[in-house]
Parts: sequence; C-alpha cells; structure tokens
Amino acid sequence: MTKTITQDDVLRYIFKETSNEESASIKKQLLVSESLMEYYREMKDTVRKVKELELEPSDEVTQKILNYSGSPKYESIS
Amino acid sequence: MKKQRISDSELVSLYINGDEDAFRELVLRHKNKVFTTINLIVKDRYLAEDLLQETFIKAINTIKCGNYNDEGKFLPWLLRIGHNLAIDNFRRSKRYPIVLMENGTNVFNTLEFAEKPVEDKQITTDSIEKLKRHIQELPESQKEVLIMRAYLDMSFKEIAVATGVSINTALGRMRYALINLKKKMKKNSLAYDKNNYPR
Repeated sequence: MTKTITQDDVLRYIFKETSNEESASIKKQLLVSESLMEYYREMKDTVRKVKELELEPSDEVTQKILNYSGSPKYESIS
Repeated sequence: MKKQRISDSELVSLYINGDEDAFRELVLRHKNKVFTTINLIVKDRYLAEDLLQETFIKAINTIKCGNYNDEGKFLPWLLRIGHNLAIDNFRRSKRYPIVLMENGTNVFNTLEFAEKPVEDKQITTDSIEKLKRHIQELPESQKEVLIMRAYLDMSFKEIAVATGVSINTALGRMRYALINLKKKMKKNSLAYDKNNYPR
C-alpha cells in the first residue's frame, strides 16, 4: 500500500531528514502531483532565502572580541 | 595551486596552542551567522552586538580554560551559546514594562534610529531588511522552530525535545512559519509593483 505523502513529509525531505526509501517515494509523488510540486518549490525557495539571510555586526564589535582574546586577563563569566 | 580550507577543528587546536590568527579566522568565518541568529530573536541591533560579544567571550573562556571538547561541531556549539543568551535575554525583557512614547511607539525603537551611526559600514539592502523584519514578526513559536532548524541546524526531533512538543507539532510550526513568510514576501513584492491589481 502506497503511503500518502504529506506536506510535512515534503518539509522533512527539503531538510534532508527522510530515509532513502522515503525520499524515493516523495520524488515519485512530486512528479505526478502538480500541487505538491508547487508546494515543494515554494517551500524550498523560502528556506533558501531564510538560510541566505546574513546580518553583519559592526567592525568595532569584531575588534573588541579579538582584543579580548588577545588580552592576558580573563574574567569569569557569571 | 588551490589552498585547502583549514577546518574549524584544526583552527581551534591552533588557537588552544596560542595562535590568535586561528581565532581571528574562526571569528571572521562565523560572526555573521551567530549575529543573525541573535538579532532575529532580540530584534535590536545594539543588544544583538552585546550578546554576540558575550557569546564569543564565553567561547574564549571555555576554550582557554581547557573545557572545550571538540567533536567537530564548533559552529553548532557557538550558535547554541548565542541562541541561549538571546532567549534568556528575551525572556527577561518580557518581565519588564516597555517604555512607550505618547504616540504609543517603543522609545527604544526611536533611540535606535536616532543613534544609528552615519559611519556604519554595514550595507543592508532593502530585501535583507524586509526578510529580517518578516522573520521577527512571526509568532514566537514559529520563529523559534525556524531559527532552530535553519540556523542552528537542529533536527525536527531535537527541536521537538527542546521545545517540549511532538515532532508533528514542530513540523507544523515550521510549515506555518514558511507559509507566512512566503505570504509576506509576496505581499511586499506586489505592493511595489504598480502593474498588479487585485482581482
């Protein structure tokens, strides 16, 4: 009996959390279901944009971190 | 000749033996990812920078005191420190009343815009700022799962355990987070396109 592929299965597939067997099954289903394929493409695109989001701290903060490491004094963190 | 990239584990070993350049490389490699994770939680750039410093200070102290166990997972370890500091701060801030202006806006928002330095070298494009805001505006439970999966690289099983819910609930929250983000991004791009009219 073929298991019905859900949107959550597709999510796990996008994040590479499916077994080889599950992945093969999902790929087959994506090829025959237009709506599921559209969902897969939209979610994958959104995940990609989220992962690519990169904010940068100021150079000043980066330098403070490096200065602390280079300093011989270490304060214990409470 | 192509220079092979030195691994984080090798850099940490060098750092433990006193090589500050190795630590500099680690900071430059990972500071943005840690900062992004923290910033999305606390929603305040200056606070995020303070917590970023605190994150690296904790890491430095742990490594230099000989308490770091390298299992090839330096970045996940660093991200967890940053994430935990951000969450602790966020929870503490919820206990204290937010100071509001007469028009109802948060006074700290005003301060942030007023004090943004002209010489700030960070170039933030419009789309980056929008996406950041969209993520920050998500319901907390959805944002939490999104950050844990996309930035901390925790599995859905680990997220379920960490947040005290079932795997299906964690997956559901991620699904809604992504759907909501997609809707917001689409709405924003339509708002700027004069050729699009609602049916």
